[in-house]
Amino acid sequence: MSEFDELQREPLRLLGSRDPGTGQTYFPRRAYAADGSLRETEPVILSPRGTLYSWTALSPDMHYGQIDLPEGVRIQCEIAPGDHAIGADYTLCLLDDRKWGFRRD
Amino acid sequence: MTEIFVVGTGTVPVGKHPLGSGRQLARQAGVAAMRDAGCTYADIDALYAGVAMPTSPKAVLVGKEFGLTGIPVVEVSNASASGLAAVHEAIQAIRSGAHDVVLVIGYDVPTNKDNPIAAQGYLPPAALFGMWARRRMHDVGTKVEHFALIAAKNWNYARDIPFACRRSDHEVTVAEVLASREVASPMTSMMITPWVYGAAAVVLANREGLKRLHNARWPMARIDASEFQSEVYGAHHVIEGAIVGPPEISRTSVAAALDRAGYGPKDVDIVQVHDGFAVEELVYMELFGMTEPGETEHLLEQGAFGPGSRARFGMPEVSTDGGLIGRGHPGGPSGVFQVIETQRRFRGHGDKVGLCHLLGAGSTCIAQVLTRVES
Repeated sequence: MSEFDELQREPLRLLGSRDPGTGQTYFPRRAYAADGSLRETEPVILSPRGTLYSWTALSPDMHYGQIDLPEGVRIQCEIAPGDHAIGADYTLCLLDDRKWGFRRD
Repeated sequence: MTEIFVVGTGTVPVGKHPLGSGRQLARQAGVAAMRDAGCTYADIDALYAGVAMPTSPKAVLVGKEFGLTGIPVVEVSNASASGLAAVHEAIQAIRSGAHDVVLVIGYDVPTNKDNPIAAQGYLPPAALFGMWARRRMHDVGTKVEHFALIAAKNWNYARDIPFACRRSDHEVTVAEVLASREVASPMTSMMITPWVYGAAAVVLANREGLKRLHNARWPMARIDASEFQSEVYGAHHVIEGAIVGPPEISRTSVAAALDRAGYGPKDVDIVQVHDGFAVEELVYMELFGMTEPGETEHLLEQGAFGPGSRARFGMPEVSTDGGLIGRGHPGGPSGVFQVIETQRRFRGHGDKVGLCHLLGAGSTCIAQVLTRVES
């Protein structure tokens, strides 16, 4: 896991980093840009909504998805079970008290 | 450039060995490889071990099983690519001029049932490749039957391999693969590598080293290139929790290895690929430049990448020992098994150019190109 907090609770948001040099946005948060320059990143609060890139089900109640956010970040995480569709809109949610994920709108 | 040959090989069967039996299995594979090369441990200049599981035995203790001769013992760990990583480091050591004869052993038998991938916080590997498969179906129109064609081919290759973990007593059919338990939709259990243990070893040497290997015999596989890369950032990059990074890493690694060896993708006769999940083999054929995007499924339907593929389609045979799906994929030995299979095909089937390819979780990619040499 990341050394940085990845979740803001009120309102529920994922916390990322942005490289001021390239504009690239990263999740989870990281200290430096990806290009090896050791340029320090800035904290950024990520959009809570994105679209489904792909998904799979390991069991009826264990679904995983990749959610593309407008910032160019792909979040790979558990998603709330349901009917899924590539390209559909999903929103960040708490799957239980300790675990965040995404749920189809 | 220093020529590096695969001189001796040794294996133990891949399977569900007892926890804690790693030293014994590594010893058996190592001795088999040295005897095949016609040498003893006293002839070995260095030992490189590829080990993926954190509770598999330490390489220095494995080395001590063979003798206490003072040679350097190096343990290399790079998840599923650990075996090819150990071969890679052994190559660098020989090329440096430090050594003439090196023993490489890949082994993995943990001492407990802990899953090292889960401990790292990655999502289950099956989940990632289930998502690859579903996206591929969405983008290209691939059918689940195409994944099953790959799996059945690899299961059937494994039927002829004595050390493969999945040796079916009958010809495996596409229907059988499709009917197996769904693990990560749309992937079924027979499309997925099993969780198994094992050991495999090779003796590598330069031409000077061949002089002390009394059973060296032609033809031999010569390792002409070994390319080792980690991820390069790209759009929508999954930085953490990635089992393997963007598929692009396989394209760039293989292209660099082929270029260094002086070949193009159409020159390759056999490919040992990271087919942990059937969708991977399909995607990698295009990334390697062996097929054009969109034609791979059609070629699969006609029987490409299986027995006779080179003559019928001009395409390589792929995963000819059953690959990760059929032979099995213990992280340490898997890459060493790929090199051994390339040698077997060069000697027994007339193939001349081979490619080995593995990814390590996190992720890395290693691609090696081997050429059959007659003398």
